[in-house]
Amino acid sequence: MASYRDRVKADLQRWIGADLVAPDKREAILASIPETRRLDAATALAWLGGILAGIAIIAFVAANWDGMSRLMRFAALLLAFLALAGAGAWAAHRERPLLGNIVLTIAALIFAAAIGLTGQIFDIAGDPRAASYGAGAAAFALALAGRSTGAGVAALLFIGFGDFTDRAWFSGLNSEAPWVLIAGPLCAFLALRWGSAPLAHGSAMAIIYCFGWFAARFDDAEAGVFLFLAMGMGAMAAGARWLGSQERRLASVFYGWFAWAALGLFAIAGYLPWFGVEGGNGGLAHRLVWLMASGGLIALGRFDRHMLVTTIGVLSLIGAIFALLSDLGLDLLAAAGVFLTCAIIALVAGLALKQTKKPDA
Amino acid sequence: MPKAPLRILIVAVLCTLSLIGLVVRESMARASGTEVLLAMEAVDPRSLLSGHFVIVGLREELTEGGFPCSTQYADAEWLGLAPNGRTVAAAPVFSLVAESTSSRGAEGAPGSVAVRGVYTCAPPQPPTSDFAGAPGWIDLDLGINRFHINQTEAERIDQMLREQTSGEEQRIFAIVSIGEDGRARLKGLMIDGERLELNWL
Repeated sequence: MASYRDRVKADLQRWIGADLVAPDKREAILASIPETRRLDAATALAWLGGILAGIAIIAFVAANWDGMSRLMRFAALLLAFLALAGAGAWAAHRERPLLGNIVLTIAALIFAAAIGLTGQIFDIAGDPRAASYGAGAAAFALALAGRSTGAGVAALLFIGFGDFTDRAWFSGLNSEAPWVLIAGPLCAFLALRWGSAPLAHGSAMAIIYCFGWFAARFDDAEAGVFLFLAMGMGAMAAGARWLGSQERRLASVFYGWFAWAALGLFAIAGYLPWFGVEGGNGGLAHRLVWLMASGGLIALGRFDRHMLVTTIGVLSLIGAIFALLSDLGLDLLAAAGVFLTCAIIALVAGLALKQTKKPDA
Repeated sequence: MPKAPLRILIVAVLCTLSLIGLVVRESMARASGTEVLLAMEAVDPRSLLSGHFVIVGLREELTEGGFPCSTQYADAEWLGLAPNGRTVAAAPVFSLVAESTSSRGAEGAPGSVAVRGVYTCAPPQPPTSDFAGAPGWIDLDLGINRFHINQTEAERIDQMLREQTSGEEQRIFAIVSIGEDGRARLKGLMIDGERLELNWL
């Protein structure tokens, strides 16, 4: 797919031919558009090569593991980690960010393995959660020291493992808060600052998990809690959308994830009791709002040219339709009435939007 | 703020020192703790990846006049271990004698030592017309469950554990060090009176 710069280059040629732009402005215009960095074949191969080299070293050491003394094994682990960190420092000194990112990511993974293997070598029984958090903290420190987005993602993963170790997804969280609560927003900040898509996706999911954790703290969750969380998530999606409009790279990733989570939380709220444990759920009114919110999200996604948001809107719309049909049973006449009402609302809204746009046209 | 290469090196050195510190601290705690011998039995089902370690199942049969199996699962976090009168290679074998919510409460009997852990027990099942009966047992969970060793040795020890039958003299014991903090740390195994201990070399 042609990049924005390539497309402008082709357009410029056309505009110069039509005498709309002076030919001497061509280079200046093109110079003002930075080259977008893409994961080209060479970069992908460099990542693959780095990872395969790491696996080869690990396999070689594993093959000779039994024949090595405990001290030798421990030394091999520490040396492997120090060598990779040293390579990361060298890459930073030579200003080779890609190489630095790769080796620091592998160094973070090796250190995590070193914690587990040290426990095994010296039969140190400890808290598996502490091991995961330790690996996460080390990966995070490496990420900050060398501006390594890969190590940042590894840190988020290890801290997440620590939170999930020895307990089910959302259970047992009344007494202790997950560390993802701190790591998620911190990584989101770094993702926006460093412009890292993997870190943005990872931290967005971590933040959504934090919302789930908050909801799980209530023994008898009522709709109000989920509605409140859905509104909070919706506000965060709006904030991310605004950041995107301020040319903040990757804010759109958060916009997509948060929009999805907001709709999801709203959908769950409709199936929980609204007025006390004895009260019924949201019923038809909730499904209608869900349907309209989904339609609104599709329109917003099309307006923003955000494919993920549009897709989420479509999936949510399908979900809302299924929910409605399930609520109404086989009463097709009632279903026809509901969908006709929604269609009229959508048509009126579309016409109104067209009318407001006309004066500018 | 220092430049990136220096920052990376500082983080790497700190990480390395923290791992070395952990190993040294644990080794010192293991060396300075009170040593106890605890009976071991084979554990079923076997771990799928049991090639390079022996599963340490601290289980002993209930004896008359020994620890009463009044509750199957203890809420207490501290257990009292005391010599049960038996010795292997001049070292006393310890058994569970008390449970408590505090370390002081667990140190009841003379020569006993308090350790952090929990137990599970099953009372003896009397024989019936179609069942020969079964002895009662106590399982100790002291946070140690594996002894890492090379594959050949691990399989040999596992086989020996499986050959042990109820009522026979036990051949394999865990050598455990109980630290000042009440944590149990595995020092090695005693197999037919021979010590198989962890060492650095």
